[in-house]
Amino acid sequence: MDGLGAILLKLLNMSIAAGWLIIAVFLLRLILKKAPRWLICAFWAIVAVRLICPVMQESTFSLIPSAETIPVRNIYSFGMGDADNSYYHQIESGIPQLNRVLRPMITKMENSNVLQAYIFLFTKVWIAGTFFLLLYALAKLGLIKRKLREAVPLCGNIWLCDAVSSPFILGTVRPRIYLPSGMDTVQMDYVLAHERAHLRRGDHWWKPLGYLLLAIYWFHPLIWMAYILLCRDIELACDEKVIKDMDLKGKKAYSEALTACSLQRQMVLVFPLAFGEVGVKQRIKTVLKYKKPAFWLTLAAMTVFVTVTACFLTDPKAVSEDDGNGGMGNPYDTEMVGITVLWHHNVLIHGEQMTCDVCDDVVRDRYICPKCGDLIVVEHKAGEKNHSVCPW
Amino acid sequence: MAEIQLGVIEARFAEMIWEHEPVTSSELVKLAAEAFTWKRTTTHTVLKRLCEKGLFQNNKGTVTCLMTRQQFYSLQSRQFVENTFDGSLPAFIAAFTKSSTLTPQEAEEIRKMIDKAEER
Repeated sequence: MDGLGAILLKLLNMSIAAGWLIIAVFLLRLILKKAPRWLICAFWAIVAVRLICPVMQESTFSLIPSAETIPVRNIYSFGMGDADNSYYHQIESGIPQLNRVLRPMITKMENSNVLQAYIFLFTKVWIAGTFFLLLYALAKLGLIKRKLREAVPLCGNIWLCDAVSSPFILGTVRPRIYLPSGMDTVQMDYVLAHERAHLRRGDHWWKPLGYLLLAIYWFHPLIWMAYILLCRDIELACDEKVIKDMDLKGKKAYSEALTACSLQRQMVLVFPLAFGEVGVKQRIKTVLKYKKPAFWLTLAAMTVFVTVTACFLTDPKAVSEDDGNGGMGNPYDTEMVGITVLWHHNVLIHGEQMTCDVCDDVVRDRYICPKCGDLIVVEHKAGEKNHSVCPW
Repeated sequence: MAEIQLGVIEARFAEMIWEHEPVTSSELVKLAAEAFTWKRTTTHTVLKRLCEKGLFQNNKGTVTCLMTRQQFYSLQSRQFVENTFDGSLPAFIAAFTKSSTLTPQEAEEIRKMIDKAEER
């Protein structure tokens, strides 16, 4: 399971980095309420990019605390077969307070087998979760398709069906709009306008993509929040597209259509882009209160967008440690600030520690190499970032 | 009599059968495929449902009706008045004439109907 476990850890790191971005977008969404909704959807697109790309450009603007919170290398470059060998496992979340809380927890798992076992378990649970979510979506799709067997084409890609209670879109390659067969013709105009807006915006691609990312990253709670908010923002963006040039009369009629359809809604989370499904009250309020956003506001929002891209779509520059090799075999640097992990004869070793009062970092480590019995000391002067290695 | 509910599309299919009956089920499948783009299995499913509701019957591949179109719609109207106006026909007509007046021809037709119904 090594390869899979490593992948999972990489995904875990990516999701933690994306989590910071999601928090930022969540806050910006509240501030930029009056900005054009399609721009807010673009923010979610940044989140998607963050979750898909394994490698990010490094930059000094990055506001991501850490690109590799859970170091992958330490766990898997270790393994000389000695079950008793212990090692120092370092979590680097980029926030010292968080480090101080998390590191002792992991250090307790001195025996690498325990850690490996945890990772193994985590991997199993993760795959099960992803599998279940994908299966659920396919099952839901199957059920809907069965109901739609009796659908009848109206014109173009619009179909009517007795069993449909609320209008929705189904299909990614050749999307179709399904309407309840007994639908009021007046409402139909508005509903079709809304659904066509979905198709023009490509939402029949975005929503499934979002769900796929959710299925992969389901273990991160913020991903769920991001997906739910994405769905809401998609609906609001479509509403906006339809009503932006409407007068009050049109907006009222649109709201009525929205209400009528919501009364028969089904809570479908995944595929269909349903008309009366998502946060109807909120949508009606937004529709009736809508005013075209001022030019400067749109400009400001776009500036924020570019800033967020620069700050969150980049990784922090890696800080490398120079531990002044004293000829002690293979000192190995882990790019983490403050601590040098020591290797001797390719074995990770660990000894007594004393902590620095100034920076909480380890001051003096005495290491005993289990292979050759050498005593090695890693010296750390308070306030300095460099370590020197010298024989005892 | 139990209520019979038909969806809009089901009703269209029923009309199709009334128009062509008696008709073979395979002929019906062709007609439905043409008009609705329905698969064979779908047509059979809907047909079975309509038979269960008591409108039609399928005897070894030949579909015939158990009630005529007129009979069915008069049943529906009766049910509608029953449900909405508590079975009161006058109440229904009152509601109907509230928004629109009767033409002289309609009034004459209705008078004739009343005479006929009273005679029985």
